[in-house]
Amino acid sequence: MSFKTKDVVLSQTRPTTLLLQKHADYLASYGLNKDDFEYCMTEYLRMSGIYWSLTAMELMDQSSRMPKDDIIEFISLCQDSESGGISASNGHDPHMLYTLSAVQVLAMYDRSDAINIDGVVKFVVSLQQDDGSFFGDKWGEVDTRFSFCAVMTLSLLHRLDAINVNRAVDFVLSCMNFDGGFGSKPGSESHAGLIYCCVGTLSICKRMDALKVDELAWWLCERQLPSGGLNGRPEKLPDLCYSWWVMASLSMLNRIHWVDQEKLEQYILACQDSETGGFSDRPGDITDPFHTLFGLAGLSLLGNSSIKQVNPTYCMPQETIDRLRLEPQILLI
Amino acid sequence: MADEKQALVEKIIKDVHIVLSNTAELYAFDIVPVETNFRNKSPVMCIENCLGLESWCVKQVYLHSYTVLMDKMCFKTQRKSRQVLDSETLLRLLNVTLLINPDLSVLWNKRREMVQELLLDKSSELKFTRLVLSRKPKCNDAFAHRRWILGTYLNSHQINTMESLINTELSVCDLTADKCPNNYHSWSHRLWFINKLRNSIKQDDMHTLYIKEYNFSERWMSKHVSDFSCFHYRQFCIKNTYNLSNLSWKTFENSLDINFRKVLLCLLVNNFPKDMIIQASEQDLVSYSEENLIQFLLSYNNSCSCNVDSVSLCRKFEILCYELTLNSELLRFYKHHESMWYHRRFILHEIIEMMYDHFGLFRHNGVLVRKSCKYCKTTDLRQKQAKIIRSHGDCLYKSVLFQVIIKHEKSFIQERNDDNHAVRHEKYLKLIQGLNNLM
Repeated sequence: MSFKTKDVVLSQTRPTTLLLQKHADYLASYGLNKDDFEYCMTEYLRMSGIYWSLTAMELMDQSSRMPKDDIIEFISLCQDSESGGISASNGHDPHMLYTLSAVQVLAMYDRSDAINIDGVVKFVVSLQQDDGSFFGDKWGEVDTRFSFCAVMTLSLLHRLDAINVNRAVDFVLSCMNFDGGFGSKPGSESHAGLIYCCVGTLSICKRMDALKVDELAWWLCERQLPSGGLNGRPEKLPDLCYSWWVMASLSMLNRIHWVDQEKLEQYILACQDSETGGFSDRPGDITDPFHTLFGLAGLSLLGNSSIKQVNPTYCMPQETIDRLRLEPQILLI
Repeated sequence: MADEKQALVEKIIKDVHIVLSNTAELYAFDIVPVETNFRNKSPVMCIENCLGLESWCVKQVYLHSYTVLMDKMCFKTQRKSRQVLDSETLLRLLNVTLLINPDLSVLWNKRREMVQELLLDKSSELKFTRLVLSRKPKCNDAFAHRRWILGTYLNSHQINTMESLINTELSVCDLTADKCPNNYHSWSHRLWFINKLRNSIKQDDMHTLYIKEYNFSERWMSKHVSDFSCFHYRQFCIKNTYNLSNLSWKTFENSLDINFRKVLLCLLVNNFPKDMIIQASEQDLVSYSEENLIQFLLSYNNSCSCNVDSVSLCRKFEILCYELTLNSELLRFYKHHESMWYHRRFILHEIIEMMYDHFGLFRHNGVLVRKSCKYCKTTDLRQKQAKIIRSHGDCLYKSVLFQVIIKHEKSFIQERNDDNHAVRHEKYLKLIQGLNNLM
């Protein structure tokens, strides 16, 4: 029996500086020399893949290397004319998750005109239930992630008034646990990713006052492990994506200084692959666009000046949020 | 050559289909690492009710079946037009593709459509998802598919074998929780399922199920001390016991072979504060009615004359004190596990919250607030509130139960000071539970 904390040890030879150009090159060529099998295996989340890559490129100020026109055309093609929702890829079914990714991408490109906005609004509205919760699609799965998708999508389109915001907030609050955290459904275990979704929902709906701030921030800070990395739940291994979910939540709570930022930065940098470029979940693992975005966004929250400022609620460049004149709530201490 | 390849792939898909349809109780599916087709035999195997697919063929099979599905089913072109494939061929392709990649929501959606069109039956869907979960125990789409199937079952009350349905579902949860520690989707699904049953089975049966799950979670928690998902589920089970009927409560105590009252009294007498004059011996306390015991523990008369349900409150304290004792034992045995310490926070939070509630108070962001009585809805004048809060707070902090709990925690933290989590626990109680000046 081991009494050691589940964690990783950072090696001496790990990267300790930000390899920005490597990451930009990695994302620019990602999907170009695509292995057909990999491509088919991940097609079900293509739209989110585009959002991760584009946002990362925007944060590095190199988004001009992305095929803008192709992306916009692809998104138009993925909107379902009947429901108004957007799918992950051509031929897949519309879903709240990919509708949000598409709207985020178009917001960064300032090209919301490429889709039928009323259709998207109709889709989101049609998925709200009496208790304020949201289905992910017509098949009826409920999750707090979908609440976040709904309010974020509508707020990016300046149409938040189309849903019952109070009920949406009430549902999210019904998923709060004694530790101040949130799960995917009422009564479900607290989980850092879902906490981010719920805090984000409250930030967009300007209801941050409803949080148990001290309990929640305490729980979030306890996610930091001796390696500096963060896990998403007790006794789990650190994973780079939690650098985003935990830190973005703490940013909205205005308590980012409660974690050891220097150690976290070391952990994030150690997750880079100095050969291929990109970031992975843990040092030495294979990199992907998902972790690459959250690595860069995490570093941005920590104040790295070679990356553009990221907005903690939307996980998009602050300049986009400013251009759209959105003001997600951040708690005052 | 291309034709040959295609023929081989089609043969493999057919072989998988044969195993799926001929083996009634398939137990598991997995991809078996075999790099090349060196034996020149079918890569589909069925050994002891387990289906295996050799890894060398996976890419080809997947690319073929995925492409056919996406093209021929007209997913890509005209969504509305009917598929060119007959439902039998369609099902074969859906099966093999989802076994390889169960994250393809679009294919799960297709299956749901087929269920609605009566081309697929619900019980076989439950079997298929179980097979998918045997390889990918964290696959949320498979759990979601089960929830959809179960939802249609339970909403229509067309179940005549409820018991077997419940047992199957819980066994799928056991399987997936066992295969993968901290399996969020599995435990979340279990919790959803129990909640869902509330509207579908009789209250007595529900109470029996609560007891069963409580006992199950105790066994599981003792064997998986670093799996917080299980501890979280345990908390759900504990809260469910709060609502047991008198009859169920007896069954409950008998099933565990535990005298809850004794556990509570034992915790009390071992932790009576020295400076407190206690005018009751353990013998006396055993004979106390619930009402007297609550009066002794909290010595407080509600300012509005609403009756407190002493029996229910007493039972809650008993359950929580039993849990505290159990947790202490586990912490003594297994060191350095955050999950158990987090569970302890829950127990203490529940106890303290109940005391606040009894005194008509609650804490919001570190501040005590007056609650209006939920029975008579009396509200105090604003000026009076601060005074009432202070005096009720004082009564609470001086009560026997509060003093005992604080003393017990202090000595436990001291006892376990070689566990770094004990220090954290103390900080948590002081700073987050607001006991800073009280312990």
